[in-house]
Amino acid sequence: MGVKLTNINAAYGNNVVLENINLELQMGKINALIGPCGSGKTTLVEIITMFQKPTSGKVELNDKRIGFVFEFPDQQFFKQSVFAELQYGLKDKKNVKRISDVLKMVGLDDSFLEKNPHHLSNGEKRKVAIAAILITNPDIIIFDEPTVGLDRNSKNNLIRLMKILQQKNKKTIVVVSQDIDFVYDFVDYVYLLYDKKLVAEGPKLKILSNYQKLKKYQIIPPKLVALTNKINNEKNLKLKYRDNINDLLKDMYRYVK
Amino acid sequence: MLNNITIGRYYYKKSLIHQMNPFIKVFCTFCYVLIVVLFRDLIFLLLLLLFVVLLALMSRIPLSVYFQAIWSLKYFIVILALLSFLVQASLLDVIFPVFRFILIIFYSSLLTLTTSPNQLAKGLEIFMRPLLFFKVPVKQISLSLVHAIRFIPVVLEMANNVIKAQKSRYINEYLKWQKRIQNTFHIVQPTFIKSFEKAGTISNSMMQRLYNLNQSRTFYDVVKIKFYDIYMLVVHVTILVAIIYRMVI
Repeated sequence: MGVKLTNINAAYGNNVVLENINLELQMGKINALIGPCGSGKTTLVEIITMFQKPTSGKVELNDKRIGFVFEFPDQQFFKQSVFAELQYGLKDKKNVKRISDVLKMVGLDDSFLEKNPHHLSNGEKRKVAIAAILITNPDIIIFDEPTVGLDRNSKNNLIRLMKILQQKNKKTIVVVSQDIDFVYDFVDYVYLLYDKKLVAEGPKLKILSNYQKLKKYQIIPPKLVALTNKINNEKNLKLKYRDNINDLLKDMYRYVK
Repeated sequence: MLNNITIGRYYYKKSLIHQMNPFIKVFCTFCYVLIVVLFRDLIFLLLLLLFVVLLALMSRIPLSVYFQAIWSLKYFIVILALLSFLVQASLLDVIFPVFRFILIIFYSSLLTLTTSPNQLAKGLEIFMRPLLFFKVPVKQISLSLVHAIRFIPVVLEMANNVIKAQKSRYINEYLKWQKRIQNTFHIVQPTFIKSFEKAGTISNSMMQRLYNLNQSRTFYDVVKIKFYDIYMLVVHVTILVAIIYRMVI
């Protein structure tokens, strides 16, 4: 049993931010929580991480440990060195090897240990923030807007890391993002929030290829979906939706042949 | 977590109280505090409560915001009541200081919630100007005071962030009370460090704008004294004078 939310309602004073949310995270998969601004994504994540309590409803964590990677890594750091930052999450404070291992995992080396996390570059900060969560060995890792301030190369590295965490380390990943192309690249399951409600959930291709539905919920469809639609409409083809440009090109090549 | 603490926060609304001259507001607050402290009659204190509630309604800020400000000091109020109980004999002696304290918090919340930090600095500076005669550094004091008031929500927000950052690594364990106590000690140090960093940023940004305390300064918005300022002033001063007159006689 994973994390389950039942009839969750939340409000700040009279301002209702979530209405009757029922959701069960897909364990062992990469989940994405998407939706336009003000749809309630952050509040929902804060309820899952227990940063705040819902007005009503039930949150079942079922003994799952949850790690939360902040949108802005600077907000997450509260120690003056990378070493101290990582050591905080360790049960056995003398297990220095684990600190080195986790740093390596995110693509950093021991030379970062004595540095102040606030003085690193954006990409490095993000990596240290992830390492600080990984060291606690959580079952579920939630990434809040992980692509903010990252270039394409860093985004690809992040995707690679998330896939390793999911496939090798058997972690459940939750990505909260408005970057639909980033989400479309690699997630398995999508939850779509709109106007305080969970309006759709399902496998990525089913949710993110539904052009009409996405438009209705003010989500700009992924570029690959838009391209596939354009080719299908203009050339009267029936290409399938793909999450990889190479697969789409292969399909097109087959048609041309 | 610590989001419900309202001390030092400015709550913008279009109301007569917001538009009042900041100096008059500071002066009225001073008078009100004196009235509350000097007078010792429960019915009169109740009338004073009614008076401040009326002003709060006039400010168009929800009353719940004021109650939040008072509620955030609940532990202080309890300690005050306990201390009064130990020192004083009767129940009335316990009620008076607590009631007075609540009234003062209510009125000072009215001042800070309806006055922007800049306006408050201006009001305090004018209010303390007579002290210049005794060579008291009035400008420095008023600026430090305003920064201190303005910094309360900033520090609380930082503490909130540190709590969240710690929770994000020990979410399940955090629920246990032993862990909660242990974590409380870990919150103070990083909050202090972050606050000093923030103070450094503010002082840098002030230096970049060539802020100089000793320079004579004009204000972007000149707040004139209007009819309702005089009206409020007269009401406060009259009550204060009446009380002092009665005490003397």
